[in-house]
Amino acid sequence: MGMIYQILNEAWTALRRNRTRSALTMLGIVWGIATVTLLIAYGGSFREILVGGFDAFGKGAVICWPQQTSEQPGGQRAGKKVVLEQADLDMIKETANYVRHACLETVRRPGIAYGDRMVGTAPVRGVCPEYGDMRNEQPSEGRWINSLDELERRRVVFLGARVREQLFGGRPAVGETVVIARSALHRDRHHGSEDPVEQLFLQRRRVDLDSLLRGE
Amino acid sequence: MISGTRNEADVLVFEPIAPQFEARAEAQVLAAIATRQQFSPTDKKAIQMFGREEFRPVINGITIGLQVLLIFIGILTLGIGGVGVMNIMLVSVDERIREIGLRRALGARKWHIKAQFLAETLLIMLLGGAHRNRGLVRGCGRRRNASADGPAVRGRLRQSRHPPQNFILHRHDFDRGVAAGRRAERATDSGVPSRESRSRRGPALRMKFLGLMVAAIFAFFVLGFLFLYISSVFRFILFDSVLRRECSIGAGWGKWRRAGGRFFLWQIVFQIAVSLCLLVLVGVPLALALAAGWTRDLRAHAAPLIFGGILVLGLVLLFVLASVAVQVLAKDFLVPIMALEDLDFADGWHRLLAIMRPEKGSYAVYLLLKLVLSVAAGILFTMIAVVPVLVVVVSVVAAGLAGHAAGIGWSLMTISLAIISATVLLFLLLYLIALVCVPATVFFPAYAMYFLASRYPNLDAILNPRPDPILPPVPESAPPLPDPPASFEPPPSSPSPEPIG
Repeated sequence: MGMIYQILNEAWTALRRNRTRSALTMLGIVWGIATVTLLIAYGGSFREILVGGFDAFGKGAVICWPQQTSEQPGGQRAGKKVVLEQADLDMIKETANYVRHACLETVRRPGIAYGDRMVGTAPVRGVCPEYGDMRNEQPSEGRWINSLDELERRRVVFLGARVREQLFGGRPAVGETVVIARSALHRDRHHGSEDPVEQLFLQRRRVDLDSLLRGE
Repeated sequence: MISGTRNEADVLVFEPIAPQFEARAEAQVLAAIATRQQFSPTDKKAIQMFGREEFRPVINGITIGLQVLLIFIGILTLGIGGVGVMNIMLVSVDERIREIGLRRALGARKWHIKAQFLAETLLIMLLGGAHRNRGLVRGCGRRRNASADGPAVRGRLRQSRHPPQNFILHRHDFDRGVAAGRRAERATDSGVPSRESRSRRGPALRMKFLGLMVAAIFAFFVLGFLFLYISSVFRFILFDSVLRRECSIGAGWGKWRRAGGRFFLWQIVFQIAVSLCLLVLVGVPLALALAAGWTRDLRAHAAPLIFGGILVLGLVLLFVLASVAVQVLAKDFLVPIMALEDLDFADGWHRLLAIMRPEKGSYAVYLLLKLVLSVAAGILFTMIAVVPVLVVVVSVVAAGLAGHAAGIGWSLMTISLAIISATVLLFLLLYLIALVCVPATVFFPAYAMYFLASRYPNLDAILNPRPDPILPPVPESAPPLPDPPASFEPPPSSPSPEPIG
């Protein structure tokens, strides 16, 4: 013990004798460690931010847009327009066992109003309850649409952060009523996640989506 | 108001059971729709699909590549630090040989001496490490509390990718753990469910982004200052090399470090002054326009805004031209004066202005000529420098295509190899370009030097040394020489050559 104390004491005395040199050496070590830490943290955070940006789009979602056919099986003509309908969705749910959730999405741009405030350009999307999980929609208050809403055909809407800001400003929005294309919808959830595309969601209804949008 | 059929949707969104089955799920979805609508299930153009898995290799390539590069640079830096410590220990042993001899003579064994030096190094390391990681100790307590509070955070910490093999390397995970802990603390304190805590990633990400920006700005300034210092010293080395017609960087660095430091000071003062002036030139009119409310209604104040903008732009351009002229004068004439008379930059400018005062016109012509020549040389040497760039780029593309044809994909190994070879190639390319541009690099300082020499006797004396007067040989015991005639004058020096160009 005495020996160790003596060695450490000698080392301490030697360090104090050359203070500048000791300080510079320490600076070298501090600089080296700081640089390595900083660079590794930089790389890690860059990856995290990039992956986080993609997560906002949806962790495993695949989006399909209908186009035109290009092959001619069985003598059929190419260039036929593909349409997406409920029957396609039912077929997918029946046959595609690698698909967990699937959902049709209808986009329109009717005006949205709350009192005397009006937003005329935001897309209104008719979707199903599973859509929220797929597209990583995180509510800042209220909740996402659930299967009960769908079953009871409730007229509910989930607002994006920008639409909410434009219609409500800083006021609480849950439970209020907004009018979409002259049809009143109970606004009991809204959306304020980091998703930069603020949108307004409607429940997709099998039959009366168009009439809902028309306000009938 | 609404187009299309009643039940026709615009988009289909689906999620595979796991990310790795994305391609199979896409094929099944296509087949299902194709069966119903009677088109070929292999017709990929019928439905356009966009999934995240397609981009995963790209994201992985970029991020893993960047991480490998940064770790590579970090290890290099740490290695340089290690060499520094080794060097210092060597010096410290070297200068205490007498002390070691004395201790050995008094009976100390070899391990006593070794223990003494090892203890000293260990103490330095511990002190240095303690400075660096003081903040980490504080973070430790927070993490412990957080992981006791938030179950979600414990999960996150458990999921940490890197095992704690190394204290330094583990620091990154540690930071992430601490940050996650803070988030969980906030979530549990306010009684918000854990799902809410995920939606709060926005501010955390923004904070991270802010941190990244601060680190980037800091690194930019540090690298900028380092580059400025090195370039200041090398300015003198270049001057010396052109003057003596031989180049020695190692000896030149030792010789010109002090003068380079003084020139570095000038560069800093100059850069700060230019930045401040630009800030005032742009900021004051902008502030005035804002205060007058012109920016609120752009259309009503279009005319004053446009004219004011043109005026400010013209002033900024004039100012930039003037600063470039000052910088050229500093590089071409201040450096020789500072080098030959060992002056600091203020005295150097004083001296240079005194030399310039009688011949302002010819210096203006010099600046114009220099501008024209720089543009011409820039065009010419860019065209020449394209050749090595093409050689390197073509060979890289060929190698990439060959690798692709041989079926080599992106993995940690290939990405690391690609980064290391890209770094080597980049340096090779820079070397080749520098080599190609040597004539321009040497010509401009030589041109400036000969121009200045005809007006600055100190430089003229070195560039055109006067030959010694030829005296008859002096015999050993010869009588003393008679005094030289009063009218003796050294032979006239050869006329200084005209400036090049």
